[in-house]
Amino acid sequence: MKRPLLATSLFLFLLPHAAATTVVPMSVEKLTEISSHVAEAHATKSWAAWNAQHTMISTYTEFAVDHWLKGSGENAITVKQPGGSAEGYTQQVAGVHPWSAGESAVLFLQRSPSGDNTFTVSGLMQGNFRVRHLASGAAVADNGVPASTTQATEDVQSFNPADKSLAPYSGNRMDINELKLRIRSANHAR
Amino acid sequence: MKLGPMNKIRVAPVVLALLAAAAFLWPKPAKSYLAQYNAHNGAVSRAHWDFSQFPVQWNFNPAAASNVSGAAPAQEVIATSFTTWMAAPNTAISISRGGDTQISSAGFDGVNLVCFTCTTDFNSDGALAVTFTTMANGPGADTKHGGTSRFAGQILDADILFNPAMNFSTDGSGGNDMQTVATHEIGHFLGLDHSAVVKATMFPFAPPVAEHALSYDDVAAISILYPKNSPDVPTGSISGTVAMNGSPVFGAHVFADSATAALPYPASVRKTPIGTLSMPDGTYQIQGVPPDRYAVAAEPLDGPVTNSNVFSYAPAFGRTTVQTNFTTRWH
Repeated sequence: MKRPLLATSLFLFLLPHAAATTVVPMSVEKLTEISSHVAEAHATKSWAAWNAQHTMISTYTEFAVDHWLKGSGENAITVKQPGGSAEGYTQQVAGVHPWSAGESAVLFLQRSPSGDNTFTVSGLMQGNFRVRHLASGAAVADNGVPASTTQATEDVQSFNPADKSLAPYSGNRMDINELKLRIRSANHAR
Repeated sequence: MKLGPMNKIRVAPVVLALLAAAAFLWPKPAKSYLAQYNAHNGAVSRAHWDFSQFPVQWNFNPAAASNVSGAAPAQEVIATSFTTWMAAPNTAISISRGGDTQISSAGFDGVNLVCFTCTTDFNSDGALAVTFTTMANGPGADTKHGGTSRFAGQILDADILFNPAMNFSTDGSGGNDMQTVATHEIGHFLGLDHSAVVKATMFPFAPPVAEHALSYDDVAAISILYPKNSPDVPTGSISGTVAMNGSPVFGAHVFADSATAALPYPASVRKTPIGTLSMPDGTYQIQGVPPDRYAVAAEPLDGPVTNSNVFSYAPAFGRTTVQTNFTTRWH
């Protein structure tokens, strides 16, 4: 028996008031506010290395900046994330996702407090909106945090078993043009 | 009802009724999606501790934290959270509390730090807590405990840092419920990744209410990582293949949902579906499933949990993301 879409109902009740055990979701506007720089960029290369104390591994990813959406800077930047693999060990931080060369993203950034001329992602991982292209040709961005992106409506509706109603499902993706518009609006409103 | 692209997706027939007393635990690695993965030199393994090699302890940094409120001491809440996992059915975990420590930063140092005042070099605005795990990529790596690692994916160190800028309550009197957050982070400490099963402790987004008990999904995950020699409850597996237009689907969220009111686990465990992700060849295996009658569904990992939330899965198989261009199907 096929019952499409019922799985969506499993999480229907959680979305309207989702908080998080790991993160407190931040809106695009809040991410824009706390970030010194926002860039649309694509990864060109990535490497990992221990810190000087040999206690923490960081992954460094070089990005070619396509557009600065807030702030300005070089055409090539390096973004540092916690975790990675180096010299026989792997460190992981749940929710922090490595980039591969060629991947595109809209990045909410701050200068690293370590003064090593790198950027870090705002909100640990929330400021990393990966961009992908749908079969329709549309580009969508997703940071894996439902409450921060509420504009997406693509192909699924939610089924509420309590009253058997269907409602638009707001996933955690949004059209990239919508994302850029919200960033620019938030920046200009400051 | 508006549907997505109507590609043909097929979930191959599976074993729906599990046989009590028979534990079909496949020895193959990387079958349960719920674990963190270690990938090195083309081999994929599930991250976990080896409790037989050296004592695993957690060490509390007692520095006074102004962001903690409530009558119960924070260290007791942490201890209770560890006990929750150690008491899970079918599970053998050996972790104890070590002496308090003054260490104030995360890192691979042989100390499994739990801290409410420590900061990191990374912007953690919005994060309630962060768990750093260090694992070996193979045998022979220094464990920081006077020996060398025994296998790829062996966890050697784990640190849990609560965000000093966030408020936590030890008794539910206000702020973020410490035990709920701690239980989730300890799941990462033990080697679990996020789960796409709503109401699982390892689901990355939870309602703002205290939830201290593990779910069936959490128990399945942890009991596969750390199986007890004599299980409290016999379990089996459900396996099959997810395919679309004849091609395998990678990273489909496949879950088994009970079709009965049976409660095979003790009442302290919350009944939920039990899920996994499909492999690059489309096969899946939901392990640690207690006796019951199940309906099985495959759904795209496109929200609320997405590829971004299961950070180690796609990279472990040399992919950047999972496949989501299909709609949910029940069988």
